[in-house]
Amino acid sequence: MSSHGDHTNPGHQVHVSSTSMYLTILGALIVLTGLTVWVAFQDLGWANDIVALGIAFTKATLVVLFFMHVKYSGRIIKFVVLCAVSWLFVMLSLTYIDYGSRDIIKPAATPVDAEYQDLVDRGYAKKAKASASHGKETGH
Amino acid sequence: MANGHSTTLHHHFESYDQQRNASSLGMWFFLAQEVMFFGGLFTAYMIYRTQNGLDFAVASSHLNIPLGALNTAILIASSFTMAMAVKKSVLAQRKAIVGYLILTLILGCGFLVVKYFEYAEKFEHNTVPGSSFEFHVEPELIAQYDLSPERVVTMEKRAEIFFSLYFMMTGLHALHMVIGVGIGIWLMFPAMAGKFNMDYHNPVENFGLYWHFVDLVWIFLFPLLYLLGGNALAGG
Amino acid sequence: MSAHAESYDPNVNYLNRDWSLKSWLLTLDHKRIAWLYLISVSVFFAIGGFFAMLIRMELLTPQGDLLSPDTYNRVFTQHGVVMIFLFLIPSIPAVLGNFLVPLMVGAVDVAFPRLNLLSWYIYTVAGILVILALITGGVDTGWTFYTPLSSTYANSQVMLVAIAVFVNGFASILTGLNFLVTIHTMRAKNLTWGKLPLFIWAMYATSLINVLGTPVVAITLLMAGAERVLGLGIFDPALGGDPILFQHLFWFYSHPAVYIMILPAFGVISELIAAFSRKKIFGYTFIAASSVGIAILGFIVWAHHMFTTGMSAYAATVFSALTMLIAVPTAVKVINWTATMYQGSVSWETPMLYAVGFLGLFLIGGLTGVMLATLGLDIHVHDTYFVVAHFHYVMVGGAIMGFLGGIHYWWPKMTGRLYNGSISKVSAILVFVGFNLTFFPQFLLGYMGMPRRYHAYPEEFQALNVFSTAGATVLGLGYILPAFYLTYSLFKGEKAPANPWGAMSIEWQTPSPPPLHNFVTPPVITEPYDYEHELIKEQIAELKKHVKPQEVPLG
Repeated sequence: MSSHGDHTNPGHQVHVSSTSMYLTILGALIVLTGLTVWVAFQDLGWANDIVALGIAFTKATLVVLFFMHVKYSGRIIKFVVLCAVSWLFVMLSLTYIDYGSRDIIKPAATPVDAEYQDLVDRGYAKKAKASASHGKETGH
Repeated sequence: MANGHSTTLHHHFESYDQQRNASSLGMWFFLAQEVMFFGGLFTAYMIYRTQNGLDFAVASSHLNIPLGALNTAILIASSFTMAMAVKKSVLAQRKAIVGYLILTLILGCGFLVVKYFEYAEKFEHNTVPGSSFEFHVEPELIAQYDLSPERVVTMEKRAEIFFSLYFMMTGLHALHMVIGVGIGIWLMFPAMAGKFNMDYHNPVENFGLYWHFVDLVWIFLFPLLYLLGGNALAGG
Repeated sequence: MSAHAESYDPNVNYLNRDWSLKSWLLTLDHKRIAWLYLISVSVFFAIGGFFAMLIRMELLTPQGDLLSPDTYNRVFTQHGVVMIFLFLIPSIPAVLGNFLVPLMVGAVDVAFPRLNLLSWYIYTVAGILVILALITGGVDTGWTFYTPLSSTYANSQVMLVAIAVFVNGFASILTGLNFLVTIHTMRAKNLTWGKLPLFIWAMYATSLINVLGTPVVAITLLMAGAERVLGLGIFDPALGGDPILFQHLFWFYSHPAVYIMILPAFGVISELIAAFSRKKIFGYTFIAASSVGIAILGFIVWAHHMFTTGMSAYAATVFSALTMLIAVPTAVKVINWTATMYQGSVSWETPMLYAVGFLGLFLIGGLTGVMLATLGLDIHVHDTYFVVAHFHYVMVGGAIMGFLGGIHYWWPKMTGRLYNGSISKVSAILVFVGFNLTFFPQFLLGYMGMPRRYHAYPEEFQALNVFSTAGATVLGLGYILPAFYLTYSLFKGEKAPANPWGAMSIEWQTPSPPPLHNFVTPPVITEPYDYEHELIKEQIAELKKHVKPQEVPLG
């Protein structure tokens, strides 16, 4: 059966990187590790996390591009890497919009709340604990 | 088509090119899956971290930064030897492949040994989540941040969440390392038999991708878990 | 390929070349693995169906007289777990997908046959764990495993089932990974992306969800399990953990999982409608793109399952709006299918009956989905039978109709036999009628306020519940009949020609059942669904010559 598929490197071309290139990357990664430890003890205020994550992303990019050869890989593999990173980003960011916006719109007090408060005031009901609203059985 | 090929080309592929493309694409999709697998943990971490920044920083200061940094260096070095092993497998240099694989496995085991000492330390200090979990905020910190007794109690509870995440994340990472070492040992046999060459080196290449991925996870775990304490406390 | 052609013996096919048990259990042939999956998912469909019948029997009367509240919790949980994880998710991908993906792309097998077999074994282990949990007392958390119920309070077999779902995830990841790589790297020469059958596009989109979504539910259940067993505190409110976070992570997979179930059905319906309208499918590019679009959009709407949990009202609004976007690619599909049938020469064979039934039911299921996406309305009908009716219209009316339609369509290819047309048509109609009778009353019940997951209810709801249970009986009959006439056709059915429906995709160019390596001669690649092509005219002429006229199912 003749198949063509998505040939990314036709012929017998397999990319071989030079040893010196690998050594350079190794050196860069070790330096960046030292840098991230050092910078963790400097107070940069709001930039602390950004710097730490920035260094981590730089290191990760070096590993992905050179050790994992993505720089020399075909479109499809780049597409898969992009997919994985963007799906992770979707999960992080959309989960965060819930937690990040809990204080933006407060649910309005309902008549039930007022009635309930009335019962509390008159001593018929106990004030609910803050955590009691969590963990309701829901779901479609 | 049935004749003339050695056993390393599977019958349903038409050429080594196709086999290699399929194999590495499959590995990359598997790694995408791994990203999402760890991604669930990173999401949980992000949510709790953004809500309890100081609590997490305090808890994090109980981790051992020198050991964490040492392990980072060990893993990076093993990634280098792994990349070299892949390179040598393309060039079909049998002895070099075996040598670099052995180096990689030694470094991997070194990582696990360091991890073992770290975990043992946690068990000794009862900072393992569960019924025996014990965590005390240092008096200097209470004074420094002017914490109320209630705040200290919540902080101690949040610390248990931090250590739960710490053990889940590093535990799963270590499990990946153990599996990696197992695969590496299994790869030694075809490597010693000289099976790998330009046409057929996907097992080594895929193992390399897996190994680098495990390294990648650690590259993020190290600053997120170990380092966020140093700063907040030193600076404050 | 030429080597296979030389040794081709028309009397030997993938089924009869070896009947030993070993040859089946250790097979690497995608067509046989499809059979392994077909048999296993059928068993679990029967088990899930049994629990559904228990639920309907209990709800026949307002009093909780048949089952205790606790047993009822276990029954609906088992129904959900078995039907979703062990039937719906693997049904079309692992059965029809396994059989058809290599055939439709003109390959000898999937890219990783060993992983394909491993996937079935993993699935089997998961199935055994669920059965084990069932024997040892069942699980009562609902299929959603919400914490802290699952991590702290439930004292049923939560761990066994959670491990089963965790393990089963890897079966679908392996299947998805296999399809993605097969479609990317193993297509026949000249079979470009724009010529792929729409079923392949649907399988591609499904597999993307499988690979990128499934690991998230695995890690989520692992966290909840670690909390339950090891005492780790990740979602524990006592420590300041957030159970809603569990729901976010859970639905990040479980909402896209809805598309894992329905997208393959979309793919099947595209094939059926084109084949039985004998017309080039209308809007090929749009249908293909909408599959991928649904897969992507499906990942950004999950929190619409959580509107009443106390999540931020701002985020709820965002998710409500995003959810409505899903209606766009879905409507694109429905409109294009309808346009394909318009002025086509439609023949009402059994698979087409399922396809048309699908259109009607899915339309209702989809439109009520838009209603539920509306934040204001959802608050009121949340956790009522309205929601139950909605997702059964999508899952049963959509996914299972697609599955049965697909099985009826490709049965001659899979077995080399034809089944009885009249009985199968009766059965398709029974399914359609029974389904509506079962679930339409549930919309009304939910709208009137009957909550889900209770074993007893006020008396004013009884009339509609009796309708529903009566409908379920008809539906059950409609599901049992195919088991008989299809099995019968295996042994006594008429031999099927290579292309009994006169259809266009390339799996019909190989004999029925196919030989071990799928094709005898390299398949002829045409434009997709080109019913004007010379090839199909030849095949139909050939068909008419060899089969008695009344048996030509071409209408």
